[in-house]
Amino acid sequence: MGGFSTLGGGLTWEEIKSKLESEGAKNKAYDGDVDGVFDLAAIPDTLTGKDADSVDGYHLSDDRILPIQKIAFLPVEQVYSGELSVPAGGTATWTVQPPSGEVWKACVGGHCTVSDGAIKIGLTDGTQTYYLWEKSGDDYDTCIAKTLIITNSVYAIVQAVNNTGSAGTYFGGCNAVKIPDGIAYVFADTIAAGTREINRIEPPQGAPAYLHYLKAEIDTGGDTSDLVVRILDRTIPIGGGGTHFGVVGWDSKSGLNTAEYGRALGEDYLVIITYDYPLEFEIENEGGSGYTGYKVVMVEIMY
Amino acid sequence: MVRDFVKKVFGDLIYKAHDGKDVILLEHEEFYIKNGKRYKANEITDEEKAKCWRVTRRVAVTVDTFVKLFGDAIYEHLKTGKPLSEVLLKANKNSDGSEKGYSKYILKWKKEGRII
Repeated sequence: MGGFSTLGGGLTWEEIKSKLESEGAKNKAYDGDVDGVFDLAAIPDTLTGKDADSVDGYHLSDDRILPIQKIAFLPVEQVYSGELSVPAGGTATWTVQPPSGEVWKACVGGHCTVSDGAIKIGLTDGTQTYYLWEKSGDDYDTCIAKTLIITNSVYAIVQAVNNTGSAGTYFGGCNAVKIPDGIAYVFADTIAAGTREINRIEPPQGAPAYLHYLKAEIDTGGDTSDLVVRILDRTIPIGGGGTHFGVVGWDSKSGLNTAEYGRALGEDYLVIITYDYPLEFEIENEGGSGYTGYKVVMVEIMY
Repeated sequence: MVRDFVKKVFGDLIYKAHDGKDVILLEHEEFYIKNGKRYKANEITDEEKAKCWRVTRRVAVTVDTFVKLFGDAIYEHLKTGKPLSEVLLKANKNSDGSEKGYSKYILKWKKEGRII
């Protein structure tokens, strides 16, 4: 402040300018005419863009500037990969189960190099297995990899099927990323026969995408009619949103549209639905009155 | 007859797959992974196991398929008394020179005394 006081004590701008022109060697080097703008020649080339390549090797016009990474990538756990020799007509099965209490997003895959092999990928709880995807048959080089959300109780399974008359080599593997948010348990309830609606209209706060496991344990009460689960969405027309959901363990019934699934009675059911929209489930006993009840367990995983 | 014989010889290896089919277990391996290192079940405590990834690998064949592949050989064994391992190893070879891939299991079963 003292400097300003001195300067303000009697020097005019013209006098200050004169002093700068005559006395300030440094200032003269950068701003020869003291017009308040640095002389271009005094500025290093790398700062003016005249020779930016010498700094980073990229040229703005090359369109090679790396995009800003908006996604925070979590470290990938290379859980397992390995080969098995599978005899003619046999199967090789890998199961990959995360540590207790943890939820992982896992990429699991399989590979076979025989002309009549198949690779299946799915979920299992150790007792029941639901295969979600299968690639088989004609390809000489059959390879498939899919992403699953897995826990210690519902984990990944890869099965290689050798349909040939000779031994073949098959590969199974899994990489995974831990999901930090964990499981939000929604409910477990035993309900009477009839239709049960499960509504989740608003997405959970802070969860841009989420996933549901839905398991219905059926007490058939001797009824042989089908159970149907309908997956409804209030923002996507039924039939038009087919790519937005996946269903496990439910067979599509003839005559139903793509958003309706059903399966014969007497088995446990498991549904996995990946979704990033508000949605609505409906479980319906098609027979109307035969069930003595069914237990529905729904687990929601946010990520 | 052949099917009953297979069930008698391999009974303790047969389990029901999730699709309800009877399956002969050929190989089974279970291991645990922590920090990229593999451990066998007897190398770590139960408490540590809960913190590890658990991987199982299993090779199996349905009884139906096994009978289809080796039924004639087993029948030959029953009829002539030829050593079972001998007829199975012979049937393991395809006419084009390739193998069905069962020789290592046949030799293992022989070594274990399960078959002669």
